[in-house]
Amino acid sequence: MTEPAPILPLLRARALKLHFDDGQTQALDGVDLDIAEGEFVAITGPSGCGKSSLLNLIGALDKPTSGELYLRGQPYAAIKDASLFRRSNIGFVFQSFHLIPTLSALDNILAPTVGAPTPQEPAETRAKALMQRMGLGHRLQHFPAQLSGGERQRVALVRALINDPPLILADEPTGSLDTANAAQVLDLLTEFQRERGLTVIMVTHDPAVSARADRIIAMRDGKVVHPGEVS
Amino acid sequence: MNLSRYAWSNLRRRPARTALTVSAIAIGIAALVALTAISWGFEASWQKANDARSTDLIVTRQASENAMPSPFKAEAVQQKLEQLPHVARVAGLLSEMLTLSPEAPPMFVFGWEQGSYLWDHLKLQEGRWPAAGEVVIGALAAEMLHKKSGDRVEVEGETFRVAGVFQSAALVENGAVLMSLDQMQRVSDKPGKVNVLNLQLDREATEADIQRIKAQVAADLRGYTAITSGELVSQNAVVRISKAMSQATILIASLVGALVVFNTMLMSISERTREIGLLLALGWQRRTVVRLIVGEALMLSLAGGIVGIALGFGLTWGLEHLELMRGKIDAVFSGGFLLVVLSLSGILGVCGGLYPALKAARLQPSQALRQE
Repeated sequence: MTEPAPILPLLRARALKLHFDDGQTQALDGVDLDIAEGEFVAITGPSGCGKSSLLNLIGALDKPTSGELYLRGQPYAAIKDASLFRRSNIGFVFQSFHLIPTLSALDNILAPTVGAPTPQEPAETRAKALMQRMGLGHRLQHFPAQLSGGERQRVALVRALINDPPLILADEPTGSLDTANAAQVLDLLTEFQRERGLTVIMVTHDPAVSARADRIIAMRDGKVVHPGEVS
Repeated sequence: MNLSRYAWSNLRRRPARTALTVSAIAIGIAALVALTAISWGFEASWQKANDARSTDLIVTRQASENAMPSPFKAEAVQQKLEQLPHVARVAGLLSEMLTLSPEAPPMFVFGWEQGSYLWDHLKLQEGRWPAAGEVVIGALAAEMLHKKSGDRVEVEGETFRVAGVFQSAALVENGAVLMSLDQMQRVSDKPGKVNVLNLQLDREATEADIQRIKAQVAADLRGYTAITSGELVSQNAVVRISKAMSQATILIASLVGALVVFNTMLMSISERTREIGLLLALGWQRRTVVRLIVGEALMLSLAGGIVGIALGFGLTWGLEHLELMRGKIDAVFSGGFLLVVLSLSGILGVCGGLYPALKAARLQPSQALRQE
């Protein structure tokens, strides 16, 4: 009788280090991490502990000084085109929304599909459906300046989902929102995560926000000090 | 979302800067269009005048590079030319650029051999052909001088009666005063002299015969040359200067246009560093960023090109109707040339936008996103 194959984590980090200023600053100092498919993970820790640096490495926005990162067993080191990798695998949600002011909500959502070999029409249909679910079906042609903070973050959330990535990286997604809007955005994020089996890695300072995650990873001084337990 | 719509929205973000950039390109293109059209028109006008006279070859002093070749004693040369095979007719021409009225700009006064074939292509609009002591004037010259047949006109202190008003296919002749050669030689104090001798060959003359005549003139008439009207025009110093000026303008306009686009796009990407970083983070490939920035540069330069062509038309029309220039400019525009100008605008847009585009595409998304 053969043993069942071990289940690969969606994301694996091994001895991940990131140094800046020719080694003067150590943003990450040997991070080991496994995150399972469909997990909602919160990364917490004081400012400067390396949370966002870790998120940048996972998002292939930066390259580690040393160590290995794997997505579904594929090493990041073997990625030929980081842009294509991000487009297919990662959706970003930022604290300050990062919407393009000259584009309508719909065009902002469709921005990650520009240059993709697939036709834009299905993406547009998907965008409209997602906006309806976010309660923003009537705001498609509005510009970011015409939207409230909560609406902007919901548009950013749809943009993160538009290419149907398996992994969502959210950097303080509620940091610029009031309590009611923050709760609404987190509800929607959780809803989509459960419905689609998405893996969400969220960086946050706020214990009330991190409490929504399945697991809380604590970091300090560039290291994971508590890998957390699945709640 | 469509890339060109996004590029357009980026240009609209800074309307004043976009308008200034388009204006700068447009001014260069307008100067280029106007100067080139005038230069070609000037050449075409002289060419038309020579062609209208059905002249096959023109004999002038060698190395004469004035607007009109230097005058020379015609009689001996004319006799020799008349002996050459296939030469049917020889007619002398003498001209001067003179001020005939304080209200009118200087204009050409031509002296053509009376009864020669040179007169054949002209159409009399009113009056009759001139006799001794008379001139005929072109329709445009009549308008500029406010003269009609029966009036008097003063040439170099001598008064002539206007016998008639004629029409010619060539603008340069329409704006001129015409009299017999001997009269012109007297008033200009150049007895027996002409600027050129026009040769009309018989119907049997072939291209090879033309070449033989040219060679014979070079061999037998020392100091003289036989050339076609096209060669005379292209050797004309004014034509050459105007062509050189138009080429210099093309160079300067291109350089300035590319630099203006370069500067604008460099400013634009520097303001949009975080946005470009975001696009890269969202999965845009670097080549898509290059396409966006070059696309914006292309839109700017093509808009400048289109506005510039329209301005160039206006500028040329204005110059043609300037009192001082009337009868001297007959600008030539061709669809092909306008297409070349638009292509040139496009090329300078791509050249000016390429470095900023490559610079933008090289941004590190994580660093760009951190930028305030």
